[in-house]
Amino acid sequence: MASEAGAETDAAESDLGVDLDEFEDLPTTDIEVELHVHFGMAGSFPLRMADIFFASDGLHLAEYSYITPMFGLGTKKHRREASAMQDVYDVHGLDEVLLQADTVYWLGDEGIDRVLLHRGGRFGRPKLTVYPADETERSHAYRLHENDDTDALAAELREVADGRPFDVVVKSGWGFAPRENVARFFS
Amino acid sequence: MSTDDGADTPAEGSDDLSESGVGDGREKHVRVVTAAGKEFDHDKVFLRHTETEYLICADPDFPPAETTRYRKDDLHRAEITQHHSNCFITTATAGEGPTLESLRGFRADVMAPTRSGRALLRVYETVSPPIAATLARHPDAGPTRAVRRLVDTCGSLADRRDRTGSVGQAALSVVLIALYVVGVVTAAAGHVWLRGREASSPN
Repeated sequence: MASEAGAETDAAESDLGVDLDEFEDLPTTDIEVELHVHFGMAGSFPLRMADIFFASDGLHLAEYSYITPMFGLGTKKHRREASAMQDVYDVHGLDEVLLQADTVYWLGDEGIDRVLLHRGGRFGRPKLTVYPADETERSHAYRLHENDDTDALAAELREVADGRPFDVVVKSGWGFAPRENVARFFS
Repeated sequence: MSTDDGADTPAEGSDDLSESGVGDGREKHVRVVTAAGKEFDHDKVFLRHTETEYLICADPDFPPAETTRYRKDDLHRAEITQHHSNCFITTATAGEGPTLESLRGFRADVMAPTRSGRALLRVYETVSPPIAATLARHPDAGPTRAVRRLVDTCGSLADRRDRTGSVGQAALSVVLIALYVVGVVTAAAGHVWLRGREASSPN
């Protein structure tokens, strides 16, 4: 699911029944989220979960939680963790997500070469890959587990990229690239 | 003071940086790459960030004279990790102490300088967190004790390696790396067994 600045709702009370006014006085960076891509997953053992934020100061890739194939996926831990992080974002916004994540990659607009969206197709989930401008740096790839409308996501990505120095490329297929995966793991 | 590579260390008398932007009290590892391609690593530091800059300091009070500031406009990339130390199998089983220090020395002197050593470390760092979490929940379980024995043995061998000649060092390095692989496999098997036991227990 892609959403825009979930925490910037005008409602004083969130869907979770939390009084948002209670957090009015907390410090904030005032970073504006332009596109939030929720519930990405990367890796294999363990799987990492990630939320992706195209924001006014650049791109934030917030990775959190470790999911093992048998006891993580098997018990749907990934869905619980994703839901919990969405709640954090809805109530507290990007700042708190970045604090809760255990690894955050930030890329400035000039540091991104292109964003590649694979549509997934019949057998695979859509995949979002961010390639840095410096090819010696690692790229970041995430399967998207809550986004089935890739046309809408592609349009949102192009809108975000408009006026920025990186390209958005959309391809069909599930984008399985084993050599690239291995290179990414060891980079 | 301002440098050409994107890092600023402010003069004394600047505003109270501990109130600037957003941050927390957890130590982090921060790596930044400037637009000019220069890399800066900061280990065991505190971080605050605003829409326009990162503030990095070893002191959580962010005294201006000791705080490094990076303007985001001057950066291409930043990587911020905040693993707890017990995310790693060694720490989860043996705890902080001389064994850990010995193994850190071996990691820095023998494994980190070589490509194959770095690849092994990468595997270890990637698979460790869920395994370490499981072993830490069961400190007295058989698999945890077995891994702890292996870790202690590795620590002793690393100390002995430091005291021997070059031939002995090479031989002990091979033994240590083999034990490292055995230890990770044992820990992974223990993780699966313990998680299976957790899943099948009524509570």
